Amino acid sequence: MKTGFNFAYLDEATKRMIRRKILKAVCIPGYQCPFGGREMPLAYGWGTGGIQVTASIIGKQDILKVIDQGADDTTNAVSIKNFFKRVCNIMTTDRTAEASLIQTRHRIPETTLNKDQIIVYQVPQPEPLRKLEPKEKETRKLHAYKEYALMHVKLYEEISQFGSVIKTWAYPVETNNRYITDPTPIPKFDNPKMNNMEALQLFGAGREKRIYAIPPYTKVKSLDFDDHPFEIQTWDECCSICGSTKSYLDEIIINNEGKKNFICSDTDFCKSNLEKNK
Amino acid sequence: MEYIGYQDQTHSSQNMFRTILKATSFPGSIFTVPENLETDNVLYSSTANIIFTLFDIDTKIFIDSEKISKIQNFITFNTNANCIEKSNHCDFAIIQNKEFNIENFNLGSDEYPDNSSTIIIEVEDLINGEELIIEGPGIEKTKSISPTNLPKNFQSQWQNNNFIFPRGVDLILTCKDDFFCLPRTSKVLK
Ligand SMILES: [Zn+2]
Repeated sequence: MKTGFNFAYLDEATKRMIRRKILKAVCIPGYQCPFGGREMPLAYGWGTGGIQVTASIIGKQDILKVIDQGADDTTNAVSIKNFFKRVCNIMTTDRTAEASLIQTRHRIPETTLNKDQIIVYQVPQPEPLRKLEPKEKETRKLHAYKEYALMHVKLYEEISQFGSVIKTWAYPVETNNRYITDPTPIPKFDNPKMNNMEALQLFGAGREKRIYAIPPYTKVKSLDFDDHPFEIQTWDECCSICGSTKSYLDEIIINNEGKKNFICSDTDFCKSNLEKNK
Repeated sequence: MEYIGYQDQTHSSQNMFRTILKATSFPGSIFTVPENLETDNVLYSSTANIIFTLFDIDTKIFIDSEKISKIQNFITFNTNANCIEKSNHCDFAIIQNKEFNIENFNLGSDEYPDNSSTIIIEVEDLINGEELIIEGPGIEKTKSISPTNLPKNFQSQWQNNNFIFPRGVDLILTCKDDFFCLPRTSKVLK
């Protein structure tokens, strides 16, 4: 290409290096694979890890969907989508069912993903044990020898002390009966979707330069306890636009008296659901 | 020697990478490479596609074959990858001989299990050998595979490879334009 940059922005050697890491990550589900990241033309916090993963796998034939908090039209989602349009000249879509590649921050679409799709998560902090142990060398050992007792104790304390509400985001999971994995700051409502998902799930952390993966049809279990079983969020209300009672709802304040309304966080699902019910 | 690789390195290697990624995600499922590559009978087209997609100056390659020098020339000339003699240090291995021992390869460490060998095994046939039933991530229930040319004690070797998880090697079995993957998480039921 004579546009001054490579297809998908990254040079071929960087893509090859990241691709080799992605393959190893798929072979070792939930394991955080270090990679030699490259500076991207976006600041950390804008999903550079996810962008590097997407850039390494995307091809001319892909149809890309980018969501932020469930919405396709937020600043973050639109700027990432525009970036890939510019450096790959690919098609994009808002429709979950039409996308071959989905990059996301903070949500998993409500529409069930299929085996021909790949979902790439932007990861702000890949290490679920980091709050317990600040040193990378130590957390790596804990993962290596499956020493997760501390994590279970901490989680048990949080849950029993503050009730189950305390961990509503980034609720840790165990992947394939082995690695404790950070599902990224998705609501725990989305955790069950990760279990036995048909689509490949890839995770990219830009600042810490880690890639991890959950292959299709892989057991993903949210950590819980006999006396405090894992539960997802529920609402008494339904979506005020499409009437859904099954989707994750965002609370919005609609007047000065503080009257609240609830709407689907997944804007594509809400639109499709509305059309279906018309 | 003449470069026989992709005309369009960027898009062809992307396309092939996605095929390998899919094959790794769905162990035991046979995939056909997007492009046929002619190697003067040095290697299968599927093996050559993997080489052009994943090998470069940062990778160490071990070869076990009667045609070792031809394969070595092919790899160094086309990809600049480093062919080495110690199998336990390699990132990738290319095997054309029937007998091999997984334990001789790089099994990674408990802290860094990704630092391990991917072994590409060229077999005569992917579907007419002894049937093995596998299960694990990427497999909905179970999957049947029947490659030929595996060592007699392959099942016990593979059992041990499962046992040392997260350490271990990952396999890619190739034949002509086809291949399938056997990551360390796939377990043989029979
Ligand atoms: Zn709705």
